[in-house]
Amino acid sequence: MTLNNNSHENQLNEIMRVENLNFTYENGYKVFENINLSINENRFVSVIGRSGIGKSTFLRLLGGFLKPDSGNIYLRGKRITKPNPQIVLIHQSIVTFPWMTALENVKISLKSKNLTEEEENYRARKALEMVGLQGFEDLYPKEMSGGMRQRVSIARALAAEPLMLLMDEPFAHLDELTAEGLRQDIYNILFNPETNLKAVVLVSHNLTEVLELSDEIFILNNMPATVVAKIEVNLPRPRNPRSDEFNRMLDQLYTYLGSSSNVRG
Amino acid sequence: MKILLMLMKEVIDPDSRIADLVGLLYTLNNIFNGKTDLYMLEKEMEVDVDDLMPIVYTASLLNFVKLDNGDISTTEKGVEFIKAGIKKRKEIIRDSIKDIEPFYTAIKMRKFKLEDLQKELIRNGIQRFNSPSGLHELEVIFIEWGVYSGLFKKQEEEYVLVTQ
Amino acid sequence: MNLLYVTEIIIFAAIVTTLRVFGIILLSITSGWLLSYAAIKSKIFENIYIPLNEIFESVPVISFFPIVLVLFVNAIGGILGVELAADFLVFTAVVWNIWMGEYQAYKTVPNEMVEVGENYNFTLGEKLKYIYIPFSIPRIAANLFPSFADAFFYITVSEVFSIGVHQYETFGIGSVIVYFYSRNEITYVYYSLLIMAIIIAISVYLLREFSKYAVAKYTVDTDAPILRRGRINLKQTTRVISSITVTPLSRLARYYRFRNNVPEEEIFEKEEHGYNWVKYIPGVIAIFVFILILYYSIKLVISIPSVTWDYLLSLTPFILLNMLFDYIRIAIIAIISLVFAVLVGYYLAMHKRGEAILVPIIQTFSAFPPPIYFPIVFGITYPFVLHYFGILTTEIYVLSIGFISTFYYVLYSFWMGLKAFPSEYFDVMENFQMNFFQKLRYIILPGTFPYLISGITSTINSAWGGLMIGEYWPNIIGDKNLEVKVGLMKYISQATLQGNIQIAAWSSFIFSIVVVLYSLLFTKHLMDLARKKYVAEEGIYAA
Repeated sequence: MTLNNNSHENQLNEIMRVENLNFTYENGYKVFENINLSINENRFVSVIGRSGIGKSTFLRLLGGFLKPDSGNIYLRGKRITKPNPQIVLIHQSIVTFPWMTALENVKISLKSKNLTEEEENYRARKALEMVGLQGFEDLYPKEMSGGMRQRVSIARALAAEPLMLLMDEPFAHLDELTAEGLRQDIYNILFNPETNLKAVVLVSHNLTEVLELSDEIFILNNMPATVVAKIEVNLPRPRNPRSDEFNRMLDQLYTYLGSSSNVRG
Repeated sequence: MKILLMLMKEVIDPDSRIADLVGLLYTLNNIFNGKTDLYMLEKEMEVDVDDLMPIVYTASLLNFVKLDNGDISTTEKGVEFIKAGIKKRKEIIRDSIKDIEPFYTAIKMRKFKLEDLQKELIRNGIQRFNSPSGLHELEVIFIEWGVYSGLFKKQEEEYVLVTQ
Repeated sequence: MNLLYVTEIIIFAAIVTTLRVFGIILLSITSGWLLSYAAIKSKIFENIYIPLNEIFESVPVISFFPIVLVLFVNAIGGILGVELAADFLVFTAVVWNIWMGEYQAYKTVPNEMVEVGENYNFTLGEKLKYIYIPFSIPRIAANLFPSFADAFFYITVSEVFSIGVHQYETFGIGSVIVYFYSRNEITYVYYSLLIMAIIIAISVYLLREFSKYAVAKYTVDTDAPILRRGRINLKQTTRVISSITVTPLSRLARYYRFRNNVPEEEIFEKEEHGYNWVKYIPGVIAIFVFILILYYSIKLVISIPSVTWDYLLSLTPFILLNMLFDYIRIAIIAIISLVFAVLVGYYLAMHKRGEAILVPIIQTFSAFPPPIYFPIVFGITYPFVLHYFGILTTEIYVLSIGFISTFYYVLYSFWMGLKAFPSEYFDVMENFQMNFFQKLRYIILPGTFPYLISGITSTINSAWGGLMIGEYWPNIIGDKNLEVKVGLMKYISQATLQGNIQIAAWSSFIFSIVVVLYSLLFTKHLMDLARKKYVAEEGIYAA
């Protein structure tokens, strides 16, 4: 069930490559300079950095929602130029459509595929089942708690059978207990053998969360930002945030981030 | 007999969520090795009492955790729940809520609108939902615990018992 | 005539008309401040005031114009009577929307603010000055533009009018232009239109600036705005959006929500010691006015001989038939406006640059009153239209007047709805590569539904004004007439012109009953649905 069991055999299969990525905001502020990285299959990858460094912007670049000044992003060797259902963004603010039932909310992701109504329904139901929401097909979002709504949006993403998921602080709007519950489930849901999913990129400011979930962590720093470090996390799952090893790694992450103040000064 | 009656009147807290139960049990199990003080839990989870206690009460009511003088510990069922997959978890919840109100009364009614359930509960002496927000609370409880676990399904405005 | 002298007259007339417009709007706003306060303080007054407002908001007041004119001209007479009649028409065209907006703003003043005022023993004047009035300003600013456009439309129509053989007029750009048309001084008409265009463009600019200022200064961040990280450059606009969105949406959401909460409110209402009698005043006045209206209505009904009643009743099927034709016209105008709004609105929301240029142009154009320039358009295009459309020519023109005088409402609403759309929705649509029609069908139309309903409602109401002038326009230019064969608005205009006030009044009465029924049965139902289900802002969960 967990990723590490099978990740080693596939480790060399690259799913995403980012080459010499540069990006500048409309106001002229340069956010990223020469970012290079590579993400392998079956990895849960996180991107961290101090607040304001442009983590969300980075995810949007990966997904093709923003266009880089220069540089390229490849998903399985194919250049990403605009958003597509192969790589789905999950928002921090949980997005559902209040006029649609849970099932219809999920089916939205299948519209561009020109499937039959039956096939749409079948896939959407399967996706809802994967996130544990069978029985909720005909319920409206406003009848659901925040945690369940985020599950609907994850089901919507999974129904599109993406290769990669981009998660922008997906637990930020949930209270800590709910977030913890969803966090623990999410890993198993995402790397369920039934999904097509090859990798997840998470952006979060919650370092404990990042350490709990990730196989690999990229650290952004400096202005404009570059990747200053890449850390492999080989702790066994489920991870105990109170263990010494966990805390040692946490300390290491903070060290990388802390050095930013020197660079900035 | 008196004790039994009192137990009967305990209900699932409308502010408790399934995801909270998972979060609570995970934290207890993985971080505290199954037992800790409530205040330690509060500190670890960085939540306040209002957020924490509803699920603690409910989890204890459903026998996933045991409360004892400010200590909280996971039960066998709690451990089983955490280790299970989604299907099994739903089954465990289904079995656990059957004897707890408002589901105890609801199962007897089999098919009902929440208004009717509310009246029936009040008739049976359960005053917890006898308030303007009572209906909404019932709806939350039924969707969160009843529909999620597959014990009930929602058809239009009615809830129907799912016969296994 | 020498040009300099004419220029002076035109500028003076344009300014007089503009001052009328602003004066009337100002009067609407200030009276609304007091009435709204009375409404939130007195249940009785509120229960009369609000339904009346709703009814008058949904009845195209122009249908009452003939009766109002007769009343004013007969009762007051002279220049003053004509002036007041014209002003009153404009007042009734703009006031309901403004009053409702203020009432809603008052209703949504955060309880904490009210409590602060009570805590420091604010007097009535202080409460209004420091709490209620400032709080209502963003809402007023948002409502101002449509009121402004409406006011210009009606003022130019009402500066000159005829009843029977008498023509009444009051000085202003409308009457000056009619004079030029009648003398066939088309060059001077162009000249007047140009000056009017400049004045309207300046007014639009000032209104936009005022709107921005009002929003920046008076918007209260009551509900924390949803953080939209990742969308660059959105910060500047969020505040504007968050307050402007208040308009159409609140029409549905807040207003109903607050009305439905009435019982709860009563429980918490605190005693105002020593002031108890004050809160009965508005109620008493309301009842008094109500009785007065009832008394005069009964008196009027009794005074009309039964022969006349029989005659009027026998006309009713004919009136209804005429109305049916008008409803078909209205439906066509509404559909065209809707399609136009969706296409243009979508383009505007997607293209920042196009938006910055086009929106002020569209606003200026829509505030530019069709009654003053349409004759020229008619004169120029008539041969072509006749050639290509033959017997449909008249309908084309009538529908065009309807369209240009009303398309703005639904366009503006829709555009606002899209601006208030959570940016995440656009991401989702892009992410799953939906095509244009899928976007419209699944996301955009449902998501802007409350805005569309509110916009379509305004469009339909104003379209009646367009029909009123378009269906029967004798000597529109030169000796040409614009006249439909069948139509209630024409029927009413003609009756008025022939001095047949009883028929005009009876037709207006039947008409308003149908309109009110339509609004109660249809519009209300849709609004309820919209408020329950289609609130896009609820689609984003952010604790």
